[in-house]
Amino acid sequence: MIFVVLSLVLADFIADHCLSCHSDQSKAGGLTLARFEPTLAAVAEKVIRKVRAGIMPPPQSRKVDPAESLKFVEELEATMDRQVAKASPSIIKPPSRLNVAEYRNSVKSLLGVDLDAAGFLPADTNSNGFDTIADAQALSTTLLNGYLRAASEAARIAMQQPGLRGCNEPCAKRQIERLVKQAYRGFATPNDITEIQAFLATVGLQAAIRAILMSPRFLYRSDQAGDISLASRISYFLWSAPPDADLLRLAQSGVLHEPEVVLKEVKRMLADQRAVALSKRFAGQWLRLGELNASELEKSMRTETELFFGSIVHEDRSVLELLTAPYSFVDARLAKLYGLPSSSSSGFKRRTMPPSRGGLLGQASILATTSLPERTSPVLRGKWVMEVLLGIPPPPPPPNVPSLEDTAKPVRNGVKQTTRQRMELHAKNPRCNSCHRMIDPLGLALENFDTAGAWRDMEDGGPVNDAGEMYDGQKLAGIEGLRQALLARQDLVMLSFTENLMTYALGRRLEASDMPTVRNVIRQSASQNYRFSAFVNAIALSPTFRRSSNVLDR
Amino acid sequence: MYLTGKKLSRRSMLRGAGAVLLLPDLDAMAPVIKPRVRLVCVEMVHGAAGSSKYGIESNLWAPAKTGRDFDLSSTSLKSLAGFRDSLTIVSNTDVPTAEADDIREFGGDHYRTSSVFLTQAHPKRTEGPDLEAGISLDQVCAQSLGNACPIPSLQLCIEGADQGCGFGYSCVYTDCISWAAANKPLPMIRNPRMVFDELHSVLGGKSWKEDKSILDWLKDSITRLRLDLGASDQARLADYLDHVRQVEQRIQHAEAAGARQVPKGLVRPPSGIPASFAEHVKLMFDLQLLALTTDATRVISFKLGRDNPNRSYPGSGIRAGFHPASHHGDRPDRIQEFAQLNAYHVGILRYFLEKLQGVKEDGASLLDNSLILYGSGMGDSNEHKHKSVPFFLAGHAGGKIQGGRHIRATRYTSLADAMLGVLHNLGLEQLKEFGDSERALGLNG
Repeated sequence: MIFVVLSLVLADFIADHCLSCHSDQSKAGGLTLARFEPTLAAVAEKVIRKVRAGIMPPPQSRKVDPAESLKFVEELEATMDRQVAKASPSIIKPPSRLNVAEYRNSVKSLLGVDLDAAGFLPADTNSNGFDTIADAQALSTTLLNGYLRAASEAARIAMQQPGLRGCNEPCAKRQIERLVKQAYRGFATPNDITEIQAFLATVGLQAAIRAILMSPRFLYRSDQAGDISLASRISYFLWSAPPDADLLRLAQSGVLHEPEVVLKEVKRMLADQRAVALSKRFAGQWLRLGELNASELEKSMRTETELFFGSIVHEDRSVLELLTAPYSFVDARLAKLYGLPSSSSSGFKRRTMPPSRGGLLGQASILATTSLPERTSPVLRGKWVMEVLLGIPPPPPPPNVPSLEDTAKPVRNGVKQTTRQRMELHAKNPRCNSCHRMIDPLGLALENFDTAGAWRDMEDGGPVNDAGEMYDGQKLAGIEGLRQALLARQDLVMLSFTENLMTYALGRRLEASDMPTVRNVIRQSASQNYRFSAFVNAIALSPTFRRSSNVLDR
Repeated sequence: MYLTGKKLSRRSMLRGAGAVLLLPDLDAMAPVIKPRVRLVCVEMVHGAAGSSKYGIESNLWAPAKTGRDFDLSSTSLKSLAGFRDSLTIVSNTDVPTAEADDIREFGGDHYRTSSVFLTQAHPKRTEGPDLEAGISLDQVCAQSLGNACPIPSLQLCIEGADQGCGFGYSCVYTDCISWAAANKPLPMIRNPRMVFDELHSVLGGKSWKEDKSILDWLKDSITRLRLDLGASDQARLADYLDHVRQVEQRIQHAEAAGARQVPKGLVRPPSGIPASFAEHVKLMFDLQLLALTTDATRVISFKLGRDNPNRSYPGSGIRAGFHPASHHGDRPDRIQEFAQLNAYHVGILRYFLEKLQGVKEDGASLLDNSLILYGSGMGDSNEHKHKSVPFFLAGHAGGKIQGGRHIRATRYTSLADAMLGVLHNLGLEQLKEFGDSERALGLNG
């Protein structure tokens, strides 16, 4: 039993700034803080997030000294961190099943066969935006049938390769031993090998390879305690692929749990080509790029952002450069879209970008996916900034709000209106205003970019106006203003990035009890100027990542 | 309003449990039906223009007259005029189980409505594996009708699952319309190539020897593996073993049925998603025709879209994205525009109905022997209302449903009543309840 006494600083702040709305009677937003205590971790973490973001206490209704808010939130965080350190909760997660991308990479690594896995398997179910979340990975007969057919195709192609073609019986037995060991990622027992060798004797090599690919030992990753599981956890995190021979060797010799060994391996693996999975998969899912591949231009947009994120990974740059980097990767299509002089060479070139394009905020991938077919959407762009970069998703709109098209027509008194003019009319409606005064200015700051992400000085009704005010009163003007506003709240941006990276890495949604670990990862990374590897190192060394997730089984 | 919602939800939960308990008996209940009846359930997402006040008054979905003398020309169904004798339009029903039950569920309509459409059960708001909706109509049928063929039921969809879920709801509530049980959503296949392969694997003309030996080996291997693993691994393995057995059953079915005649002209589609909506939907209909004519399956569910995409449909003549168009702000001109989008979507169904009508079996057409159910769990999309939802049936379910009717339900009738009526006409007359319904709506009235 833990007793945590609410300190005077915390109690006073809550009494002075929270209780008038969050009382037992008023319960604003369904929350009462009347009997708040830090053992209510979920409530405490919610309070921390809202106060850190400056959303609470509501900036327009009461003026709170930011220093006082900061002192409160830091003390509450420290209290929560101490509490979890005393009694680290165990979280149970089911074993992860290989998702479509991991399946493809695992088959490729095992057999050298690059299978179009998405043509055989139904799409993965996402959770919190990611396809790695184990408890969302249900099995179905359709999926099992898909695995059966995919394995058939992979084994058939593999049999045409020199090492396996025309293999006689002793050769086949040796091949099976090698494949089982590799496929089961360090968990193969002598029994596992003899079992498939016996099967081989009755059905032949091709069917035996198919059987290996159907084994739950291959399709599932068991989060057992120990170095062997850790090896797969690291490799699927960084590569979306199985551990290679070097990593497995370290795990099997029982030294992988040593911090210096982990750090050395992470460094090696981040430098490996396979770490491109972090750009293509982690960044693509975190940044909500979705299915940006309908046209050649869309494919270029996606590639730019992947290459850009990849440069942060490979050059081990500060994650803050996602907002500020003065360079990007541009091909002829994007050069045209961005109004840059086109280079003579084909393919993507690293280019210095004007300040109006620096960082993610100026990239067409994001500007286009947050636009509607016929107009820009400051709401979608603002929502994206809040959800993805600030980690404070706005609530969904109440169902009966009138739309922009309803409250603000494109033509008013015979004069065409800009999107901003229409938004402002729309936001005058008090039902909308309580949220839209937070969302819209963030998106309006990007109004100089059209639906495809090209720069524009004029819109239908006149010159683009990109000025605004953030929900806490800070002035915003254009992309540079938005960038500065985000940098002024870099704690939130780093929090959002870290939470997403950890969710992806752990294969489960984070709980309130994970937040002390998240804060620790951020502290470690801050001391190294937020270098990308610092986050990965801190996650890989965290007890949460290293501990087996189904500890209660053991 | 809250209280009603709460009551309904609790009741439907009990009913959900009841339905599951009933299931083992369904086999015994299912009579031998001749002709072979097929069911295809199509979900159009996010309501219809004809569910708004103006849309109802202007007959944009349901025709003005009830009974046999209805006129489709003002409606989004106008392209189906050639099939009017096969249509049963049921209007004026609501889906109360899709409403918010408490304040935390407000605004979550996008994220739960798809799971309500065919289950007529209120989904539990959770992001974890403690899912709860209800068994869906197609699955109630699959567990009786479907047992006669290798693939008990097939689930297909058009749009990807990469975006548009959240707000405390697991993505399966937006991804899946078919639920084998209250906590068992079934994944939907989007890639036409995969549908083709799935069907081809049970159509015969091949040897299942290797598949069977692998499945046998898996059963043995898993039984041994289970001895030395922890509890949560054990649970996954048990699940795995269960599905291995179901694949085995498929093969046994397919073997017993022997090789089927594959219609000429249908080749294995390329992997990947066709860029054009109409082409994708038509290809999926072609594959459904293959499934039904070869008796690979008799039960199909088909999800045409997702609630919240910015996708636009160039073929419809409407430039606006689907979602913005559906939030028409109650402006007549924009409601008409959305009605045009609805009409475009319904129009693609005509392609399927024509194909079904062209297939003759036992002296009738495949359309006579099938029932196509088409509708949405949302009514007026502008305000996310679940009242007066769009819904109609096509086909005659082997002569059980006469068609050529427009039935306007009395006020406050649940869509579940119509669905219970559907189930009664699919050989499950004994079924007492479905979703939040205890009283079937007559479909031949």
